[in-house]
Amino acid sequence: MNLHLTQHSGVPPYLQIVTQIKQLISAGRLEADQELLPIRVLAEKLLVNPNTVARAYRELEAAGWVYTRRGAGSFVAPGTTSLSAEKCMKQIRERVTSLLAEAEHMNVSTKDLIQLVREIDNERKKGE
Amino acid sequence: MKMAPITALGWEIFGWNRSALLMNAAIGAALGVAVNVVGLAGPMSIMLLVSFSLLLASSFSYIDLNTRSSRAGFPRHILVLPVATWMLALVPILGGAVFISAFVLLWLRFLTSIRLSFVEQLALAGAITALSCWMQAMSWELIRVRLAKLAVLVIVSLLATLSLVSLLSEHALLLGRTGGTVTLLMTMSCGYFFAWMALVRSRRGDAGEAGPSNKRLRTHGVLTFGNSRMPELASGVEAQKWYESRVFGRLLPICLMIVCTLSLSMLLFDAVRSKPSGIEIGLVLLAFFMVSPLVGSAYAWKNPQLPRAMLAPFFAALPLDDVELAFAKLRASARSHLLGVMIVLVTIAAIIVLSDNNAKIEGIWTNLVAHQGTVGAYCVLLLLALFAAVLTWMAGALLMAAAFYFAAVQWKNGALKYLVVFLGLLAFLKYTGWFLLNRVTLQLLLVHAHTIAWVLLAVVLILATLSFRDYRRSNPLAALGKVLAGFVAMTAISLVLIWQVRMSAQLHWALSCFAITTSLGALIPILRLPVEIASNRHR
Amino acid sequence: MNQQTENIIDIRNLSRHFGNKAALQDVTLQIPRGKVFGVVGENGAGKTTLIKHILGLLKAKQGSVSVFGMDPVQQPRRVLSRIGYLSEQPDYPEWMTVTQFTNYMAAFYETWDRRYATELLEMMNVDPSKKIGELSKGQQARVGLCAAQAHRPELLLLDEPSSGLDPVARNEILSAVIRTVSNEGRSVLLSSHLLDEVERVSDHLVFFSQGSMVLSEPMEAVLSKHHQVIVRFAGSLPWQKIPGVFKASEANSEWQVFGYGEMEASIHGLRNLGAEILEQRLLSLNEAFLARSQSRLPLREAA
Repeated sequence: MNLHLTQHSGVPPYLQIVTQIKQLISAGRLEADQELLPIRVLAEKLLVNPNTVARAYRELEAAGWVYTRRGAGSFVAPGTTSLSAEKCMKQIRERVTSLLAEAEHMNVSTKDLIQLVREIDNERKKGE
Repeated sequence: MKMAPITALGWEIFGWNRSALLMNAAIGAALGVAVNVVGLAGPMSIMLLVSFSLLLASSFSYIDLNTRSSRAGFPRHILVLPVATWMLALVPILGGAVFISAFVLLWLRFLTSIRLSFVEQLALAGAITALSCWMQAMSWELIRVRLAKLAVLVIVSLLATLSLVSLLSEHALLLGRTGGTVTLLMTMSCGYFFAWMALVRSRRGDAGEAGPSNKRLRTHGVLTFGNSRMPELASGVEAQKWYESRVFGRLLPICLMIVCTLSLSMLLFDAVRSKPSGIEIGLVLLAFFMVSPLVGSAYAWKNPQLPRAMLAPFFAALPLDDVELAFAKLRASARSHLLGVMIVLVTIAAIIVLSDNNAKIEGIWTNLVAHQGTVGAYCVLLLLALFAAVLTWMAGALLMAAAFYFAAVQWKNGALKYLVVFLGLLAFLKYTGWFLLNRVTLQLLLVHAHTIAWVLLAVVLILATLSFRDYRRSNPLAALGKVLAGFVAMTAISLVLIWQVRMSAQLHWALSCFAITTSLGALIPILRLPVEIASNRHR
Repeated sequence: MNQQTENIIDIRNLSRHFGNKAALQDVTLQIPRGKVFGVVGENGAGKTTLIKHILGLLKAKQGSVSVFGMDPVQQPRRVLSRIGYLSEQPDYPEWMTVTQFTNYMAAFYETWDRRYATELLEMMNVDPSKKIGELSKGQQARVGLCAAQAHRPELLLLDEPSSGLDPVARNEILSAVIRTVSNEGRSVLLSSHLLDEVERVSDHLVFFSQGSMVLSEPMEAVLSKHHQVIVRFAGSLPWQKIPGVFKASEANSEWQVFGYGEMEASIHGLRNLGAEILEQRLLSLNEAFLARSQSRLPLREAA
């Protein structure tokens, strides 16, 4: 489980952990019923307070990504990976929403934005 | 152009310690005046002068003989001043030499009756300069081993004294005028050369790699002192006792060994051996009586050579009760004291055996045996030894408690403490000396021994009770168990010994009283120390 | 005495003066089990004085200090044997080798675990045969850290432990903090200038300024309540009127307004004054500290 935390991103640490675990699950790097690192171990690895990790795990459990077994730890909930396509789409949708909001904030029109997306896509295709 | 850096340099070097320096000098002068007023001029005054000069000298050189860091030398920023190295080496040497010579010469001129000719004064100044050169040289990192530094300084002091004496008198045994001058000049130049060389090295950044380091000597076993051997420490108290012994426990034995070796080696000379052995024994005893109380107070210091009686934060935060900390120090001090006593006794015995001329001592012994019988005579000896040992240990422990007390009061200047201690000691010695050496007063003492003993007992009892009350305010009774048992045993032994000796009944009672007083008296520092440590540790 | 629920440290109305200077003013603080308390403040704010009171190195002349339910001045051994302490400028005996030092320290603590101590030293790459005086500052700090942890203390007390240390050593200190608090019932008091580190590992933040405890809040609250709003306003903005706002500075009609409390409340107050909201964000601990240190107003929280 390779996570990393960025200090000054404006995103609270627990949320970063939640997001990254979700991404790992979505990408299939964490499989169904696979055990997550114990809270203590992850806390020590990331050098954060265990309560932060505990909170992240709680949120993941509440959202259905993870389940806990008493005395045994936390595990990836089955069914999340199969739903990964939907979850991915949901995440992308969230990203697009915030991107659009930001663009509006900076007075970049949606039309210019779509133009930009096409340009960058072309560049990437050229690079391949 | 060259003036400015020199002034700056001089100011830096002497400004560093300016106030301490002046204060030490002032206190030294005050002591000298006091000594003269009290009427102890002569040898006392000279001894005072020498010890004070050493104190002054040490504040000039940056000698850092303490356990904390064997990395002595000028602070970095002096090294980078735009001043030639030879000048950088010269300024502190000259400054020190000038200051101390002036101090010494003024002292001799105004506070003693000794009058020296100009040449003699110059010789004295020369000897001081030679010493100053070497003190500076040693304060650099040329030789990193502290013991070696000490050895060098001792040798240089001997050379300087030898040359001085040669110059001052016409003794056939010594080097003669020319020899003396030459030795002095050579010592001076060698010292300056070494100081200069060490400075060059420091400036180049080579310092710290020169010479035999502690590590290599350790493998040769010279400095091992049982370094690798560490006993099993069962509890915190044991651990602290081990620590105190390791750090301070060697001071007294080493000092005494040096003095005893000196005394014994004096016996190597036929001339000395044929004379009565009073001087050697006297030297050993004097050393013991003077040094053991001072060393006893050493346990209060953060480290042996840096008297700053504050509990280092590290020790203050150890999980030890104040009583346990105090008793660890006292136990270690008692152990080292016992060792010291044994060294002294063995040396005295050796001196008596090895000396050819024991007429005086044998005379005293025969008298004693005639008066008391053999058993009684041995009892007298044992009693004397016991009292001497206990009283000196007690003095040391009291000084330790006093050191903590003064630290809490925050007397920053070490010389001030020196002043108080030394004056007290002086007064004590002078008046006891006057007392005991005077036939009349001795008779008076014996006649009124009874009353005096009771009065002393009463006083000590009051002090002990007060100390006990202070102790009980925050310390447990249980810790005193072993202590009290020990003192009951000791009192019992001394009482037994006293009653073996033949003397008047009144004297018996007086002495018994005195024995109890001594035991009670020894309790006082034991009760006081936890209190003083507590006041120092919890501010 | 219910061991599990009582506070490890209970300080009430503690005040202390040194001469004319008030080092601590009426400080009340309780530290429960299983938490990391971060203590921050400028130099001379009183952090070290507080720690010395906890260790019993200073007597509580006004107010009371209770550690593990005992007075650290009256019972130094029982209190200190449950504390692992790393001071800012440790003065370990330089003549001892690391092995001797660990043996020496081991004797004082009943709960000392020799295997754990050796493990720690190995992990931190300390050569046990070297004398402490020969070690670098970072290595000495590691030795101290090992000694502070090896007896698995109930309270790990760190006073500016990271000052002057390289990043690796600092990380090891943070590891020690996490490891301690991960074990049931053990707490950490961390006094530090490195606010990023304090932000990461602390459950609770205590902010000292000139002897007074200005703030004592859970870390989450501290991070979510300190905010900055950038507004445009011509003329002099009467920001003092807005509850929660404690500092504001202006450049070219753009005002940087710092507030403590609900960000929405500050924004509402600013809008009422007719300011145009340009930007709003939460502050990091570092920024919050700087903003507070530079403001002279007492802080009221926005409702």
